[in-house]
Amino acid sequence: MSENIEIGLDQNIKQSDIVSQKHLRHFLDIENLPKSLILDILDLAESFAGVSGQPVKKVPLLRGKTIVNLFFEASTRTRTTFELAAKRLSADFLNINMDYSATRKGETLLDTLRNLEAMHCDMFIVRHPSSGAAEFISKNVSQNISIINAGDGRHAHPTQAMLDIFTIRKYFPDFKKIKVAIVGDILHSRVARSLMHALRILEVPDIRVIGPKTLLPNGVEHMGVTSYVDMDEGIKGCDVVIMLRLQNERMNSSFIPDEHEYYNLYGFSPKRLDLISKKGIVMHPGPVNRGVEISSEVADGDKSVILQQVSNGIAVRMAILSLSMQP
Amino acid sequence: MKYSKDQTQALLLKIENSLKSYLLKNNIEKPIIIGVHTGGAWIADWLQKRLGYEGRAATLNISFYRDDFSKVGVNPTVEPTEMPVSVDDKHIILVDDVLFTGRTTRAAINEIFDFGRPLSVTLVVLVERNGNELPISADITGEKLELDNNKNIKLLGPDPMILEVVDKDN
Amino acid sequence: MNDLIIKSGNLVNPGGDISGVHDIYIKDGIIIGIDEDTTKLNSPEIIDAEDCIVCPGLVDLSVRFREPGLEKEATILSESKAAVSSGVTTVCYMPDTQPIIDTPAQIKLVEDIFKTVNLCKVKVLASLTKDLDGNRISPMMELKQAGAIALTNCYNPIKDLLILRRAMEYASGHEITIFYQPQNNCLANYGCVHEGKISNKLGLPGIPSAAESIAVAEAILLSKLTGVKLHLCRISCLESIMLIKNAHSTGIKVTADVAIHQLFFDENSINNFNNDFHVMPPFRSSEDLAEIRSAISEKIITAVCSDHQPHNEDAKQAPFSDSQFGIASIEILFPLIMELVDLNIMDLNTAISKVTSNPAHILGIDAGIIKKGSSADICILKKEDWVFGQEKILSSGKNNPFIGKKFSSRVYKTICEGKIVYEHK
Repeated sequence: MSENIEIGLDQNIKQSDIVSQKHLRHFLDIENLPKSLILDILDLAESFAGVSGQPVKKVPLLRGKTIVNLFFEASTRTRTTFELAAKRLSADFLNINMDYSATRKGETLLDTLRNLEAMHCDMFIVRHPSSGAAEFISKNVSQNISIINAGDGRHAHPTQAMLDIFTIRKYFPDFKKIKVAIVGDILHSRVARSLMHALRILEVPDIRVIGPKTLLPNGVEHMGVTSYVDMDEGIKGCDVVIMLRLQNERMNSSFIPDEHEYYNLYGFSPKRLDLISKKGIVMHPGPVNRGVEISSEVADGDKSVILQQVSNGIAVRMAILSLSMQP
Repeated sequence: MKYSKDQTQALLLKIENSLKSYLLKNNIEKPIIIGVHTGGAWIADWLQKRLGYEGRAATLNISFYRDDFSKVGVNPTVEPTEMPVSVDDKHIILVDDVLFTGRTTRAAINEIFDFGRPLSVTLVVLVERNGNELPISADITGEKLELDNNKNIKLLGPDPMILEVVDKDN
Repeated sequence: MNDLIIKSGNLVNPGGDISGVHDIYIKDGIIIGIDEDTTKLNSPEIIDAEDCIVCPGLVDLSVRFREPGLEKEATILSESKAAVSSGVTTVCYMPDTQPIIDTPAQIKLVEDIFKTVNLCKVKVLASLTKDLDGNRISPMMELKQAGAIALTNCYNPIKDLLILRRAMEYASGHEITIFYQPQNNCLANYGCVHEGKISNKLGLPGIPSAAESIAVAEAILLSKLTGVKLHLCRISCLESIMLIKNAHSTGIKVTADVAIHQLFFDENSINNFNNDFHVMPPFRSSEDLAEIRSAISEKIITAVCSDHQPHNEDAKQAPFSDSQFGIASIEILFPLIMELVDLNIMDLNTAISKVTSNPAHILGIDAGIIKKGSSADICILKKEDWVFGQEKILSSGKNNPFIGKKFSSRVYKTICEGKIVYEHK
């Protein structure tokens, strides 16, 4: 996508300002989105990307709207990027951290929702440890509230997948020509699930998941991907390699023996850079475990686009918030 | 109903000349030409070349400054805003194809002011039609038109640029 | 109560000698004759059962009516009404109430409530271990003498195989049947759906089939070692079926049942986190469903039960893994069995045997068969199209994915101990 000023070159640009039928009220998962809507979100995010570079880093689009971060699970990164995205759209913003264990014993999830609804907010951005929580919440809020899924259990993290494909598109505009590999704990990863769906919808011809057999879902091929236990074989010739974070508990429950063996077999060490395609990029949704799934040299090297993912995250989330808030 | 290429060209030449006199009269040497996507951007670019300025005109995507988001939402396909230079202490020539209700111009001015503090903003339009809803008028106009309520006028382009009157909801 | 004559019904009586169109004579709660009025009846009420199927009252191997302790979800009164509307005249009562049924007093309490409600009969299952803790065996003989028909540890795991062996050995010594819900808790690992396509897609923790089949294998081999009468509850996967079939062919007399809902759905029904399909054991793959359907027609699984688990609304109002499992299905047990006949999965006789004579045989009770001298527990079924609508639900539990389903048979009358306990008006 050209960075230069490009003015109205294409006679087919729509004159109308009304988005066609693809109405988006909630953003819960990627699986059921039409390809055209995914591309619209990416295009809109392009427009928002410029806002962060302006002296006044705001547009008045969502002025007067109230957006609430409803996090039942700790997160600094996702929470702050959503907050920034909302504020750059001039929305009013509220952070609510729910201690999930407390709610389990006391107030039910539904009661919490009812109480929050009484505050007349327009949108909840929800992160919850149970798969399907975002879907459940969306079924139980009133008509005028939008729900954005910021991660539910192991099920989905659609905004992360969107910013990942936005980043990929900057380097590889034609999805139909690339090889993408996702490496790490696929079994427990909502990011991996959403990515597999997104890449499949965008018709990426070769999607690979790589990891030890204990961390690859049994029968994952159903989701349109090929699985590899050998990382060197799996990333060979890939244009995009997405590294996932390894959580400590995996070592404590016998999924893998230890960090040392994991890094040898599945860590992105500098020598593995030679295996990916010449223009290949290395991604990571963060936070990064240096020396466990990726070496510092690679994480900080010129094939890494990790920091861009972070800044892209704000523009992409601005696009998703806007589209979900519109009539 | 389409204007011919020559008719449109005539209007363009008219605003070019008016602008040149205006700049001379007011001693403005290095204005920033900013066009509103999409039609205004084509015209701004054309003016940029005709006035012999280097590079391309700046462009605005006013989607995020509109006042009707609750009714119509955002259009993801409009080109993004490109503001390559600072607007602080500069004379701005704001260019659009049609001045109708004035709301687009209001949004454009708000957006410009989020970039800095210009010395002045001069509005140049190809066509000014009836139906003004805000106290906004053009400083330089190609043509003033009276149109029925059920008609719109729009600019096709970028090459050639041709004005067309169409029925609303087209 | 009145004496009764059921006239001209088509008897489907797979456990008994008599079938076909016959008249049944009932006096003082007992069947005193078939086609022959051996004793004068006192102004008997005549029930016209022409064109109806007449069969033994159903024997349901697993119900939870939530009393005592969980009355906010359901009561013996409310659920008995639901039960008899489906032709069920004997229910096996699961002991995971509050408090748990692990003393003779608890057994008596439940039996007394059923007597007061006076609709269907009950056979109480008591807890295999104290407090269902899976560790200390309960006073089995005392419980048997107090009326417990069998012992079970419900969904609670047994601490280890040695304790399971001891429990089986002790029970075997007193000729007590054990109802065993096979699940290896370590492998199940807090899962809530079948480990397969859907768990992969939805990111829900899965329970592999091996969690059940391994427990089945352990239980079968321990039953061989100890000689206990073992009944496996709620089979869900093809590996378990293979093991049971194998056991039968080597002479091990283990019995097994399946919950009625397992005969209708597979994992795909969960779709997008639909809590109505959260059950335990979970709905498994389409291959498993096909195999279970074969198994009941081939008589590897000889009984079908309702596995009735009524819940109030809150129980299902949470994200899937946090919602409670279970379906409140007792009142459509019989219509669903008949649907399996309509779908050609079983013939009529086999189908009725699964819910009458076979479960009675597993329990070792005199029920499920229409014969002279037995208790008059009878169900009369009509061919009639009807819809199981929300408003019609008798159970306190509305957690039922079959709501809105069309059926082609309905229970017309249910008679228990000679009393008409249900009539469809």
